[in-house]
Amino acid sequence: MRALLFLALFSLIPAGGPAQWQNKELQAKLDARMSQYSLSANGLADAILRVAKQFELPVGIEWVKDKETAQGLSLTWKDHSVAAMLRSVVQKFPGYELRVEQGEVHVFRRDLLDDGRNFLNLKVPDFFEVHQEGGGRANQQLEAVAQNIVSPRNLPPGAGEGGSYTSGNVPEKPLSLTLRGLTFREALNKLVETSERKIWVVTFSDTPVLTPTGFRRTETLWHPTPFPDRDQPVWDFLAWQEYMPQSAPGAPPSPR
Amino acid sequence: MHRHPLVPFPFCSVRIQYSGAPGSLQAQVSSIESRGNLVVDSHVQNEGNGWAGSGANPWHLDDDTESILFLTNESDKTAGIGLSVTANNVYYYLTDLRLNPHETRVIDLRKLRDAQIADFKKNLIPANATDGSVEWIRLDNVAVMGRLMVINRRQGMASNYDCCTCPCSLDYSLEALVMSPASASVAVNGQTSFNVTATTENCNGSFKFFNVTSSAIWSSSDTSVATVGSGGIVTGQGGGTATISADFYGCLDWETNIDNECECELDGSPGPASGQVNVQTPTSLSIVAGTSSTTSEAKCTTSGGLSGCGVTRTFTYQVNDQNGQPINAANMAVGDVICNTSTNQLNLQSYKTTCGGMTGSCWGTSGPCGKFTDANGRFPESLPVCAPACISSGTCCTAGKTIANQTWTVDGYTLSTDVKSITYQCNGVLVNGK
Repeated sequence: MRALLFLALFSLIPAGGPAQWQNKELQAKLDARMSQYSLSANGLADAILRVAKQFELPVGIEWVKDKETAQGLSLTWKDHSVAAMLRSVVQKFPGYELRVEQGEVHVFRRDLLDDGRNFLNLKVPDFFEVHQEGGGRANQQLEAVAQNIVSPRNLPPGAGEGGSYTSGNVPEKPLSLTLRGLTFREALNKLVETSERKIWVVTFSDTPVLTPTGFRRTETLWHPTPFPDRDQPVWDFLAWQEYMPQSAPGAPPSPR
Repeated sequence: MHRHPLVPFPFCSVRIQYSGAPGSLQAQVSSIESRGNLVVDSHVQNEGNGWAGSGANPWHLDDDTESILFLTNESDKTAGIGLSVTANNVYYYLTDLRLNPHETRVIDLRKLRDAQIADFKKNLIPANATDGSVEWIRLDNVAVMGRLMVINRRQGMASNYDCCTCPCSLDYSLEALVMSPASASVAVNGQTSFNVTATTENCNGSFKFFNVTSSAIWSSSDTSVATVGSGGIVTGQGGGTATISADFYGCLDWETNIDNECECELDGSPGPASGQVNVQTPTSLSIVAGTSSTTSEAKCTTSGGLSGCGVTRTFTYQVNDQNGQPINAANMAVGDVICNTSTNQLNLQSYKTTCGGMTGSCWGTSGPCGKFTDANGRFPESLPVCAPACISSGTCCTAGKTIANQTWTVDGYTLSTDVKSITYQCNGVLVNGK
């Protein structure tokens, strides 16, 4: 028990690096004490995201949506810090861990971190760069690049791309970023660090069936059924106000 | 009243008893402070003159003069008060004045004037008004004492006008109910509110108004379109128009009985008030901001790593209802689907969309996916194109176009009759040919 406690405390110590100033701001939010706080949530990701939205915490979550992690939970704390509340949520799900690193709260299943079937461990191709794009559009492009690796479409020579993008109700400022040499996980962290969107969630499906290229299948918080192979991988990249607990995960929308 | 000058009064009261008919007495009581610095001049009038409230009491404001109205509920019950302030031919009404049992409410006429808050008829007390009158009635059959004090600091004199602690006669009637607004629009699942105001009239033909929203009985003519709850809160359920009604019961006619007591002769409602609510469903999109100007995408790269060039057009959409009117609602979820048409000179083989994924042979899903309208029911859109086909001899050119159809879904409503034709070109993007 003492070892577990030590591990949990150690995991909340901010890591060093370029986002150190953000770590300080984040740590102050995590240290804030609540005289009383109640949380009812539909599983691990929903619980973390509700707290993240309320306290405006940057978060990255990589989880497997299964019977255990999708189970509802209801908790009440008295005189706890935000960090302690998050820690007690994560401790309810065996195999999961919480770290504060690169200016965000990172919640993940331990075995996914170095799993070769997890696309987040792939490197972003060298050609990818963000030039004067909003964070959401940059994420859309990053997702398309990941999809071309995980679900190659065998496009004919000279194929072009069109599309549409809306930032919704989140005003965005243009960014210029180089993500060369980073893994997709690190790239998402970079987008969270620099853009208005502060949440990324990769939801892995609870299925042993991999994509034809050997990657874990993914789904989103919103879509009730897993996406087909040709659309893999997918993830959620949200601003705090875009997370609507009452309509996610998987439920019909009722945001107002 | 005479008093030895060396022994001060902590307080005193004056009781006037008379045997005349109701309404036959007007008295004036003056109280002079021993050094003559303060004179309180009090006009007293009983209620028997035909109304359960004040007459028109004059107020005045200047650098040395304040006018303050005190209203005291002397009963154990809540008392509704209808109050009007008149200045420069403007009638200004307070319609939410309700006194708790034994409460004294202080209304500073200067603060009321300077607050410049419109009443339910959008009237304001003129900001430069220095004189006027104030009048009130009690709307419940309980004793209320009102007193307007006009205090002149420099002259050391205060005047007050009061009346009306008698229960009789409460000669005013409930004349009509008025709904505001007369009509309103709301999105499906959205909420709006109506108010209903009771109009009362006293024997002098003077009107007072009182907000009865919380105690009215509310109903909707079509609950599949809109439902209404207590307090006039209306929730949109489905597209269309519904009539929202509110009824309120009170005394329509007061009479004085032989014991000189007030009795309600006729209870009832003057008839319900009604308003229209238009429940809006997302039906179409119009471009409200953004031009045909574009941002160059020279040397862009496709997600497959191919070099190309192209442009991005950015603009703002407004969500409109079935009548072409804007839906000014926040947090409507949006998603789009893009389908290729036969013209594909730029060799566009895939489209990124708001919610990603695919629907049949088309790109995109209807959502929701966490993208919502702003408070005005608007959202921005960028339409990018990046095509190797736009490069000729190493430089960007303007040849060719690809036309696709785009269908939006807003808050679960697929705008299938408002399919946008998107023309992707190397030097610009057109929506419906513009």
